[in-house]
Amino acid sequence: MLKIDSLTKSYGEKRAVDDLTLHIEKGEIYGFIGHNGAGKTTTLKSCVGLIGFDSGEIYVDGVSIRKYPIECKKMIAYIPDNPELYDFLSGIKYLDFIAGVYGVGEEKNERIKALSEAFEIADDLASPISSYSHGMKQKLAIISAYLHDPKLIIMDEPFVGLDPKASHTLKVMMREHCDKGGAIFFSTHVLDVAEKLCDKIAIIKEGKLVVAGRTEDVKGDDSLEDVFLELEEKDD
Amino acid sequence: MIRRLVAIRLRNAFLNSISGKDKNGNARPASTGRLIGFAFLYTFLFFVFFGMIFTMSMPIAMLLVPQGSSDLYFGIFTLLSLTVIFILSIFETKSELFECKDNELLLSMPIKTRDIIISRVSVVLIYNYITEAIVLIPVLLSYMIYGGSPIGIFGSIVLFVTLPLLATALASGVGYLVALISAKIARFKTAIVTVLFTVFFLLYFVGLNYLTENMDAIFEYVEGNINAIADKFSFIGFIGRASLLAPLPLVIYLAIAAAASAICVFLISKSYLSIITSSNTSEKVVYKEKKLKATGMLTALVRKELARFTSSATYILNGALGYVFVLIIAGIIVFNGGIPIDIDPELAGDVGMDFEFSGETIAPFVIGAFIFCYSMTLMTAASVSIEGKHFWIVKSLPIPAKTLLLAKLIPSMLISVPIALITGIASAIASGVSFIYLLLYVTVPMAAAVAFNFIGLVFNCLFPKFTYLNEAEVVKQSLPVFLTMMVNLLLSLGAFAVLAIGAISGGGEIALLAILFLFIVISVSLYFLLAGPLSRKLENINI
Repeated sequence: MLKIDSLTKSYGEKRAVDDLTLHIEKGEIYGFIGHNGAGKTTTLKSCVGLIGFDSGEIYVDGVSIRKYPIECKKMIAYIPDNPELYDFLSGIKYLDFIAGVYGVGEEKNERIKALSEAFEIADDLASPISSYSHGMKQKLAIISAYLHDPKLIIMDEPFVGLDPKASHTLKVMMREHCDKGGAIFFSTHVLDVAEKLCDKIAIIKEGKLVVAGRTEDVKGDDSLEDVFLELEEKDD
Repeated sequence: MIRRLVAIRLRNAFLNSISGKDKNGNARPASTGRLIGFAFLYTFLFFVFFGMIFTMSMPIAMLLVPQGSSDLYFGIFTLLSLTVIFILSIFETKSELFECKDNELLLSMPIKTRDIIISRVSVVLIYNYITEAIVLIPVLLSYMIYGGSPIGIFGSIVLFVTLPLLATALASGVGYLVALISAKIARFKTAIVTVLFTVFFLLYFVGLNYLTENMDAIFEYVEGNINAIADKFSFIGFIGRASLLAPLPLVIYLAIAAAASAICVFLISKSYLSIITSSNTSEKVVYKEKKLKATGMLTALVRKELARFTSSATYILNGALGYVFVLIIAGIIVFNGGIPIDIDPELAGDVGMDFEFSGETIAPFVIGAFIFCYSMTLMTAASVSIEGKHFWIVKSLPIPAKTLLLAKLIPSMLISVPIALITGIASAIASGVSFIYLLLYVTVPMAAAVAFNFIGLVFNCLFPKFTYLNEAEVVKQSLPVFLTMMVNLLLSLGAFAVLAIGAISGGGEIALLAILFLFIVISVSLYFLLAGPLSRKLENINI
């Protein structure tokens, strides 16, 4: 579903992502772990087409994001780490806007109802986004991501700001999405969640892939936290 | 601390607009070449405005200064300077004081609230000194050319130093009142703020109209009735005498400026926290489920653009002021039953206008005036930059850049095209012109309005500015807005000159057709520029 081949991206002299290769298959929840500044967000943004990259290639369901960004974006939904949504719109108008862009027909009504009730913000949809808390904005961003039933969802720290119930709802939805043949690629610092939720995990350090594979293979008999800390210390 | 806050603010406002991009579209510090280029551009623009004021002040200085009426001369231009600064800074003060995104960050730090307020006001004050320099330095030069006295020169320097204080205090006061009112209301904030600012504007133009009408009287009676004029225009006389260092007016003027500044800072300090902390609150509305109709991408984008435009009084008033003037002119023509013009046939003969005055012969001038008004519509010049921190949304969605740009053009077309159609038809019918002229009344201003929208969007694509602390930075002060204003002004003045020559020489229709053709060519050329290289530029901007 998502194929990252030898991705390299530099900011001036600093190489943010260095020859990164990852393959995410249909039905997989793929966790992306690394310390602050490791290159996670740069990778995710490159996959969504928010930033260009120096070399390598990214394919979404076999389509190159560099050559056919619009076709790729039709298959993707993206949730950034700090969702700055249109605060001049109400929640419902924002969702209507997203549905319009993706060409979702009148079935959007049912989807909005179901998703907003699942995340308990149905009553707040008429209020302007400027009045929303960080958590509510995050919920709205998640709802907007699921609205067009994307093949691939890319999320940057999706659990930040969510209350425990919403976190649980999101985890269930992530699993359901992948069980239906979709794929999810997300970054997180919450290693417990990654350990329990992800089918596969990749750990990145200073732009380079340190380890990647099935969660049980990566962590072995230890906890993911132990593995992560050990890898961090080893290279230091 | 105040100095540091001001420095950070100015650095953000100026350097962000000229920072460069690398081959991947990442921001990087401006190169020396880019800095020199921008310095040259800003200097050029400074001198264009400077030249305009100089050209205006020369004949007035020639008339007044040698006859010993320097007080009247300074009075007139001080009033002009005061109103220009006031009008230009009225939005700035509200945005700068109450709508900066770093207000809460600064308040959380161990910085006195008073220091934050003073630093904010100081930034506006610096902008106002730049504006004042553009107005008063050429005035002073004209004064010196026509034999101004050393007292007048020294007095004008005193005025230069103190006038922005008064103007800033007045503008801050209005900005404070509007912010205070909008902080107290939960709904229809934008509409109320827009109406309030429009009322201020109308009052300003009524005052300006009064002054302009009475200018004839000034020139007519200037030689023998200085005292009477000074009495009639007591403010002009008073401020003029203050500029010539007459003790009492000077002391009163300085006291007013100092008191206004002190009162302004005091009042703002009192309510600053409550205004800022209430700025993001809106009435909570419980959502009642309604069936949403299916829409396409372009409709969704246009709706979003319209919602963005109507969400901000600053954006509405800065972007659409020209439309208000068009409606005013058309209203005057309709209510007057034609063009209210009364030209002395003898004077017309002197300048070569040897034709019958009728709706059709005057039409090129009226259409020229419409074009001039449309040149002040700057909606599209900020439409890309205003995406700001939200730009990631449209970048991550499957929206072709061309569609995005089209969606940014359509709202301004949705406003300008009907206005051009209605005002054109109404003006043509009221003026009693033929069908051909009715078509020209509609098509020429419409083509101009569309071209001006294209120009704004092109400049904004060339120089987008996504990082800003308050809206006024992109809506009012950004480089694309400035460039659009300048190019539109030059084009509209050029068009007016062509139309005037055409009308005077009896070739009004040909001149109008030529201008129509020119604006269509501009729009078509810019369309291809937007659809090609500028769309690609937008696609390559990194977030």
